[in-house]
Amino acid sequence: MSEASLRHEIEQLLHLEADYADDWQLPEWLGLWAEGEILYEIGPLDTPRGDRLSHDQALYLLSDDRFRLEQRIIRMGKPTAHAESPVRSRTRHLYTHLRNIAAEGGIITCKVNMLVTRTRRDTEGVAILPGYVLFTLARQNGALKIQRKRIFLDLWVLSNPGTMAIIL
Amino acid sequence: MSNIAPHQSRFLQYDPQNHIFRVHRDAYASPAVFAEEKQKILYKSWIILGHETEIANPGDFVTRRVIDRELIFNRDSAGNVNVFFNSCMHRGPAVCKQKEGKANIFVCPYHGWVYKNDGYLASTGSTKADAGYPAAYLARGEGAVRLQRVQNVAQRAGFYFVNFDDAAIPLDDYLQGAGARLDRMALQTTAGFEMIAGVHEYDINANYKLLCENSYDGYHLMQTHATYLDYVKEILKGSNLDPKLGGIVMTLGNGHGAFEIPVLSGRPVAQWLPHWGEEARLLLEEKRNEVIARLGAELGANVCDMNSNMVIFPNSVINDQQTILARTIIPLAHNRMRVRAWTVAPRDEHPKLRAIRMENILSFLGPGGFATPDDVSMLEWAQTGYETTNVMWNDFSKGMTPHETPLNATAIYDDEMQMRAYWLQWDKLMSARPPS
Repeated sequence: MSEASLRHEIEQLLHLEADYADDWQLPEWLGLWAEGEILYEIGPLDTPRGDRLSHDQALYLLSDDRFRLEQRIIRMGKPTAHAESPVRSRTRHLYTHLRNIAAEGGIITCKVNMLVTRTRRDTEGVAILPGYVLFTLARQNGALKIQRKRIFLDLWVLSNPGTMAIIL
Repeated sequence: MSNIAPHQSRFLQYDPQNHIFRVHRDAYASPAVFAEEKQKILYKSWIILGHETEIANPGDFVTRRVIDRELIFNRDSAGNVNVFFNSCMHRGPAVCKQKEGKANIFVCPYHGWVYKNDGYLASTGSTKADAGYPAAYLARGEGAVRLQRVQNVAQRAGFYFVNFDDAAIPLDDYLQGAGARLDRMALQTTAGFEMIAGVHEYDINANYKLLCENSYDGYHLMQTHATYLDYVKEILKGSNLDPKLGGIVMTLGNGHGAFEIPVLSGRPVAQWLPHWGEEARLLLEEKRNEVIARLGAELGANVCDMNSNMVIFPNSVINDQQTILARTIIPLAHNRMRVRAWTVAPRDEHPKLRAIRMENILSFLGPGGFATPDDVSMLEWAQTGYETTNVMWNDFSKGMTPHETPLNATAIYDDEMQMRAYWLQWDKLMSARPPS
């Protein structure tokens, strides 16, 4: 596969993933993940060592294996998940500067910049969550699936709102 | 301490005979009250600053805000612990802009004044500049210039506290029963603790006292955290573990309080959950045996089997559950706070148990956990209720009895006695008349 077509395929996946997240299509979003072991993480905010420390060495914002990610999605869908109920945040995921694409043995890694905007009915203004994402993708049954999504935000403090109750 | 007589004040309706305990919402929602409580309470109380492991070696420093004061917390080259106000004695800029590190000197970026890490002025930029000042400035004797120190700095069980009131009572006297609770946490290991990298820092649009109340409120769990309890059921599926809500709340003197409740979702010292696997089970059994051999059956089981959240009046929260987690609360305004949550763990912890600790923290605590976001929503909605309606009073009467002495007492876990003790202390300090 040429680099251009691989890049195109990754972009299609990222666009779909962003749309599912923004539309709160939670089961569909979860369906984009690979079978087997997975990892969904948001790294620590305050340490300049950033992605060089793993989640068992530093206090991540979140670090989900398959069980916890599935439970997170179940939780987010409930009316008693108060932070996003009854009115959910409106979000917009923007991915850009897709780079460092590497493919080896059916596993593809890449880095992409991310900007997520989030508005809440009960809060004035628009929260902007900037950062980058390290993706690990796996080709399973011919389709690209997400194996790892590690997010590192350019924030020192989580503010307005101070919680992470949406899909990032 | 004697009983507090029934009374009505600006902020409190306290009438045990008639089962009435109400707090006026101005205590949360008035900018003027916030300004007043800074002077009467926040600047006169012992407030948590950090942990001894952050400044383990000579030269180690961190910079940090406590209430609204910017501080440098360091260990100088002679090994002494200092807390300096982070402002050059010349014209004011911070002499340290980094969050943490190791330094023999601090240099002001404005005119280049140089301070040794014990705070004494070493140079005003050059020999020529030095000649323009009194010789005493640099002589380390009378008249020496030194970064201004917070006079009252003390530690208990490795937790460092500051008090901006130079006339403050000693920390141990202030802590009363809370001190013994800190000592109890230290019993988890004989190897000492280490600070885990990374901090959860997040803002909440609510008065800081709302987070204090929430932190040791055993009564909101069923309602606010229904989804988390569903998750716990899921992780316990197929095991014979059937944790029950229960335990006690306690008051610890001077407005401090805690709850102590059975572990719901495992902990690395030392309760196992089935989905952690067989290796973890053996490691936790070993850890538990070590603790019980060292402390005896009763105290050992208490250390291993009970979660305890504590509020040290007025704004320091130390939770002993999935990990030892300190929440330093910075009140930014009457209706806004910044939470700085950090955690320490036994230095000799097995890597497998450390991994379990980290995962367990993230499933419950923190802004991305399965519980904290819901707490934050409740606090913000409560604050909104105070600011957008004419309802005046909050109710804290649950479990109150006519002869209750909410000082150094215990009650069932879903009582509100610990909060009554907090508010009685708060009201006492707010009602004090300044000396004329």
